Amino acid sequence: MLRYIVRRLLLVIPVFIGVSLIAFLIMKLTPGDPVLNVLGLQPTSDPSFIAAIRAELGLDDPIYIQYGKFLWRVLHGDLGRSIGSNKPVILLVSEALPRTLLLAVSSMIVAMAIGIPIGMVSSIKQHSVVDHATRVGSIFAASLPDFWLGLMLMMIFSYYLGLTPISGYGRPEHIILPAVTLGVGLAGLITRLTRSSMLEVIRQDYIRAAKAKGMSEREVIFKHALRNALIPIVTVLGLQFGFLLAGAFFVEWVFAWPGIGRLAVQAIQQRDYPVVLGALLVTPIAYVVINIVVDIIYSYIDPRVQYE
Amino acid sequence: MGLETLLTQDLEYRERRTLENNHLLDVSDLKTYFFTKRGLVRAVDGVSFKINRGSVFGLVGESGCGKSVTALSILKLVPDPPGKIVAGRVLFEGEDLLQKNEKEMEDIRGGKISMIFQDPLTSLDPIVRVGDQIVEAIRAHTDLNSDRAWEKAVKILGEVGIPDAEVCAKQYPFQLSGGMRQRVMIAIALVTEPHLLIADEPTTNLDVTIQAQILTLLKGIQSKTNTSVLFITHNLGIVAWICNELAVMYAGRIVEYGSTKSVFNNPLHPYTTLLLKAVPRLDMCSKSVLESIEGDVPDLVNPPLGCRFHPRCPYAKKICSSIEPPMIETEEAHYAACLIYDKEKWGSS
Amino acid sequence: MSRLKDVKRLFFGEASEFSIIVDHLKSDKPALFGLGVILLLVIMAVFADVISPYDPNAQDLSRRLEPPSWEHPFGRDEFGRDILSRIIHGSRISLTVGVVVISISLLIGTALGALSGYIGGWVDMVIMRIADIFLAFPGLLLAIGLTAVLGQSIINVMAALAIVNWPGYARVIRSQVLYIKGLDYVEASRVMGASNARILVSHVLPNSFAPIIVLATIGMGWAILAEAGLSFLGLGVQPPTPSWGSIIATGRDFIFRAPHITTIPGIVLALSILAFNLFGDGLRDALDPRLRI
Repeated sequence: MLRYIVRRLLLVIPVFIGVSLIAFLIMKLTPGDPVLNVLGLQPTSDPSFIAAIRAELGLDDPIYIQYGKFLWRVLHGDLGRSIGSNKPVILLVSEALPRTLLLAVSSMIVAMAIGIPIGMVSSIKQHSVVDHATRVGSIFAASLPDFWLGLMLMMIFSYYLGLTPISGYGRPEHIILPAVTLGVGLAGLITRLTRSSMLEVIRQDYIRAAKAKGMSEREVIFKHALRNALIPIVTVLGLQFGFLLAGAFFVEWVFAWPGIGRLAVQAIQQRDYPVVLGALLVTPIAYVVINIVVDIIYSYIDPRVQYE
Repeated sequence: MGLETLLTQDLEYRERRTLENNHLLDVSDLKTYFFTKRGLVRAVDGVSFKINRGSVFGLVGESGCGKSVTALSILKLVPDPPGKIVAGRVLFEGEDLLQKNEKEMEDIRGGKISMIFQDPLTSLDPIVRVGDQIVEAIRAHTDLNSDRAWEKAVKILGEVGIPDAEVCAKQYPFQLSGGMRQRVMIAIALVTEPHLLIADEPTTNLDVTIQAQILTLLKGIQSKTNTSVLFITHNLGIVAWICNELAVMYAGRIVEYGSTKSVFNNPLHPYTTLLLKAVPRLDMCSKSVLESIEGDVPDLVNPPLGCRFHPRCPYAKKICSSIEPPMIETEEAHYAACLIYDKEKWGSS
Repeated sequence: MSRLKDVKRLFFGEASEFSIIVDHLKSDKPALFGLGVILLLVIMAVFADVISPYDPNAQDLSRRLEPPSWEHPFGRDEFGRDILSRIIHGSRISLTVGVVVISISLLIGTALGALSGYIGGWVDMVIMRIADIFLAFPGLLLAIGLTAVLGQSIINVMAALAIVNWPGYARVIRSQVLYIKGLDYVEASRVMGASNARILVSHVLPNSFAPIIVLATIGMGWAILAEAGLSFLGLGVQPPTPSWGSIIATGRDFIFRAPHITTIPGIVLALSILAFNLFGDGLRDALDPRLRI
């Protein structure tokens, strides 16, 4: 078990290197002279002063040395400072990331709470009206643009019905609409997945054998069918987490949820490049770590994995 | 009708009634059809047999002849859709199972009637420990708490010949060998002390040596507990060894029925005869030719008219394609569904 | 219709593969609905100038934020412009982005996939590692990052989306190439002098057609969604160009006073994405590989 976890963790390293490379390249490609951008200097400032700063910042070094220094700084947690607020990027990012993770996890819970029951019913009553409606419904749910859905839900529930706060962060009610918005799209996928997985499982011999033991239909479905059906669903959830993160960017923006998405988008619009860089660097890492967590959960559900 | 005939019939009738009380299972005219896009598949088309207490009854036939469906029909486990039991009566200890509702069937399944299946790997839940799966069977039929149920599960694992039962119970099916898995299935089936055990080709997927072990195990348990067994197989060798009575099925119907001894010594139905000839035997010389049965298994959507075996039968006459032969008692308690034994009809065609 | 029937019909020459596929699609109502909407969009986009009742950029500040009416079925926006006309022109942007992105991704993906499969070795490894990273990581985020760097314009959006989208096609093409490489009759035709290009065209492409077209259709839906999203965040089209996303974005400021500005374009957007997804899904069912003998 431990070996399995270690093996998975080791995979983070190449991803980290790849991401940092991309981030570094992006940084290099950013239009405008970095010195001027960072220090807010004008092009007409004293050229020798600028040259001195460039030398000090190591901008004249060969590119691989620059990358090395960059990597070094990043590993030490130095991601620079925000141009707008001058706060350390690492601070902004470490505040924002947990909030995004909270939103993402809440959405997953919403998606599962909606998707799994509907998918189960759909599989049990195959080919019925419910089943066909579910197929179209789940594609429909997955097609809705989350930023627009967020606005619609905000309009209906916050403005017209006054049930939820419009936006912001702080009290438990604030997470409801954002989580539901993100969750609905994912729910569409989970419904279809649950349905096809259950259909596959119900055909299996061990279901028939369990019935032959005298277990009731309900017992068989919940104790045997569902548990086995969950296995592929959990796998997909790990992958889908990425799409959830992407959607989170938009939903955070709409609901002013102060997560990493909102941070990044704001930074992009304000051309606050250090923050953009920091966000881009941190998000993929979070993605990989969550994937590992999902993998570990998966290995608990399916004991066969541990013995590979 | 003469007085003599009436008296004989009355005697037979009373004899039959006495016999009936010894029958654990009495299947009459069971019909299970599958409603598919291709058409109506008459998988079991009028099957009747009786199993006594303590008897090991073999149901023999090629793949697709309907023997598994018969077994599933008894426990009402036929997948619906597309299958449906459309006719018949299944008396178990005097009560018709086909009339019972689902809740009553749940009590019987795994309780008074247990079933073991052909492939122990796919018939066990891959992500549940073996011991827990036995416990499920126990708790479905008794009130034992989980600790006592676990103890009982470990105990029965030992009784079916698994060494280190305590360790085995905590393992998952994929960690066990094929023979051990089948023993686990037997354990699950027998832990509730059923009156009837239905075994659907329990050794077909196993190595020959393991087959022998499992069969010995079954025979031993059966004689100790006097459980009745419905043993389904296509292997005549196994039937000869373990069954005391048997029925031969072909294309959804029973074509021969009798004690093992009489059927093997004197096979009546042409199909049975050919089946026996097709089995290679150690005492055959190398020059003898294995006789295979010509033709193919019939399509159950459009079975041949009359006797279903007649297209492949070396003795077939014209009358065979127009009349469905009934079961004719040729020897004592030995029946065959073949018009050869109806001297009147056979002779005249 | 059962698959068995299909196989029989193919085998006996009663129907060509193509007509079987068409038959499946014809019976799939949601897919047909999707196709209908797609065709509608195409017509809208091509004939935008002719169809739209007003000039999408014509402002009338005295009639700002008007709700839907007979003359303006979708109402007016914050500058008094007719929203219906803007949406019609917006379809141009959405479809153009979709087609361009998918085409470029297809080209890059096919080229890299074929290269990867054909040459093998470390070239293959490198390309596939890169593809895996792209596939594993949410593309939209990468696209956001790229537009941040490249600058905010519709061209950059298309480039960013294309860069993110190619790995899916590359994988398909590569596996086809590998499969074909291993076939004996391909060896034979090589010996007889058939060039690699010929093999590529006559073997790899036809067999890859099915999965690729499904990917491409659903990819169109994704590209339209992505473009709308990026424009919504202000990273895509610049005003006054009427992308559906940017209309929704500006409507956001007036969401309570004039909900029609956000609601209606969103419905159109959702329907368009839904159409591509439904049709793609139907295609996937109809092109079921179980059919391939």
